[in-house]
Amino acid sequence: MTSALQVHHLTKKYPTFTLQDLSFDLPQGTIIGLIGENGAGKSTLIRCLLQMSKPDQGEIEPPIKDFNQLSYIPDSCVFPEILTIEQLEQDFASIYKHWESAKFWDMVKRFKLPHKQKLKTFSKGMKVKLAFCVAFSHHAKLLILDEATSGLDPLIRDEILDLLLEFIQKEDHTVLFSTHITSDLEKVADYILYIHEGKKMFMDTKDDLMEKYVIMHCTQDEYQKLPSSKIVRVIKQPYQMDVLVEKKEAEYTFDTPTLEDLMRMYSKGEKR
Amino acid sequence: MDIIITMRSDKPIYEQIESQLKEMIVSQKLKAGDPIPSMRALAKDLHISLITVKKAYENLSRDGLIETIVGKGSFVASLNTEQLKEEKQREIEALLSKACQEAKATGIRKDTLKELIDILYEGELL
Amino acid sequence: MKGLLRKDLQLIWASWPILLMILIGGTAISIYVKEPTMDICFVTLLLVFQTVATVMNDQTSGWYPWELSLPVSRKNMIYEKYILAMLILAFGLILALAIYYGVSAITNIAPDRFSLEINLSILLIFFGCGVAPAILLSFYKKETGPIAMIVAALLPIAIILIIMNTVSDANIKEVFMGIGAISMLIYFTLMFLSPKIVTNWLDRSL
Repeated sequence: MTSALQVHHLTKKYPTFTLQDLSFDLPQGTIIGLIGENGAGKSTLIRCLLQMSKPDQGEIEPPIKDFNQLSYIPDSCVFPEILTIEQLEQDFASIYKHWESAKFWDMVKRFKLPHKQKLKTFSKGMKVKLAFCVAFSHHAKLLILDEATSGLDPLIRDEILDLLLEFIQKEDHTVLFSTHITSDLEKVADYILYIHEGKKMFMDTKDDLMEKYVIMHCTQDEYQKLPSSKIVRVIKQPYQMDVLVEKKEAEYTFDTPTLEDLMRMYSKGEKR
Repeated sequence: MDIIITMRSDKPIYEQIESQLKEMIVSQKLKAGDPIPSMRALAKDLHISLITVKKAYENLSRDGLIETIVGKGSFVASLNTEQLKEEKQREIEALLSKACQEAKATGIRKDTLKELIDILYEGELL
Repeated sequence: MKGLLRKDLQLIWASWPILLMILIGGTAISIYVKEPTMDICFVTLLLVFQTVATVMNDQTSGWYPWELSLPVSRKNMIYEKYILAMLILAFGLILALAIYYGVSAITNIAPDRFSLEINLSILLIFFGCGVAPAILLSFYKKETGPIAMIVAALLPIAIILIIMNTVSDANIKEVFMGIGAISMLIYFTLMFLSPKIVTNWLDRSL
């Protein structure tokens, strides 16, 4: 599969935090979910991809040259709130090379957003929908969302997932979706990239992740009897041991993990 | 065309899609040459990830049930009667295997099972 | 850059009621104290400082640094503010002169060339040593906006007071005009240095 972007050994040091030696591919034409705890480095990574920050080491290939093909939606509305959609549309028409006015107004109509009202009267959901209207109206090929859906009700989030699926109807369109709401990723993500404390923990297809592993619950004694090679991660609970193993090695009682479970096992769990 | 998927099944989603499409093709509800939705369109309409659909389509392609032509889309492959029969047989084997398992589990003997098959088969023909 | 200019002009236009009120108020005061020359600086600077306000607005709304994801070069993004300020300077000056001549007529104080030249020089000192640093400083962090405004006011005032206290009356006009010209040089120097400085700041912030 062609890559939209390839990251090679990306490192970025800050006084309190470091992104270390990140390497991965963003496959073109897919939705890649970016997960990790607060402060894990997701936003820093995105800033490096957008060339807002310069990495200390490593490369991003190809570096984005034509920002007309990029849409970035952050976690809160960045448009000046005393302006109206009508005014903003004129601005973007001048900013972007291939602005599709008809498409923009179509989407605005679809979301029932008022043309002549100041943005400060909009709800959060309306502001996010507006951001999508802009993002879809200038021939963008790469869409990067950084917690863009946090704070939205499930119905709107569902509409947005639909929009993402709509966006990748074209094979050369790619979405990088950084979010805490792992249940959304469980629905539509093709790949999951998990960053923990500045390091890449895993990058795999969502289907493989959800099908490859199970979380076994067993007693201390049962746990001691397990060979180390089987144990991916383990967490000691008050009344049981939670052990992350491959599905084929499963015994005792086990659950299929959610993405959240996987994150918990990888971040809080230990190898034996 | 109806494709129903559920998150709550033990069967992975790609398998659910695969088996439903297969059923429609083998039972001739979808005939040779009929178009089926593109992977991306299906993913969007089912509200699931592209790669899940891709896996199902790749399996169906590998089994010779569909073909994907770049630039045109995906279509039901022309299956000869042999292939169809083979597919059906595979399905029947799976069903019978289940029946055998259940029988063994509840202590029903092989002879009783064979008698049951005779009665049912004859019943159909009558 | 055109799109950014348009957005900033829309922003400034959005506060036209307040600006108009302040304009009228200031003009009224200049009539009352019979000092039409104050209008030259007052009207122009009232408008020009709105440029700094747009940078502050960009910071609060998050437009900056989001706009780095737009197809506008970093240089143009920053130059745009300085160019905006110059455009408003030109427009504001025309308006200011119109008001100046109007108030002169109302108060029966004849416009004199000496005051005009000194006030124009003062205007340029505010522009180069006030507005330019203020624009730059507002890019530093969200919080530095108000500090930037204060610098924008205090630094030029300090320079002007120093001149008034150290230079004899005979030379004062030439000195003001000289410093005014130097201020414009400072303006352009800061303008061309800004992209590099802002990039530096940006890289260091998390």
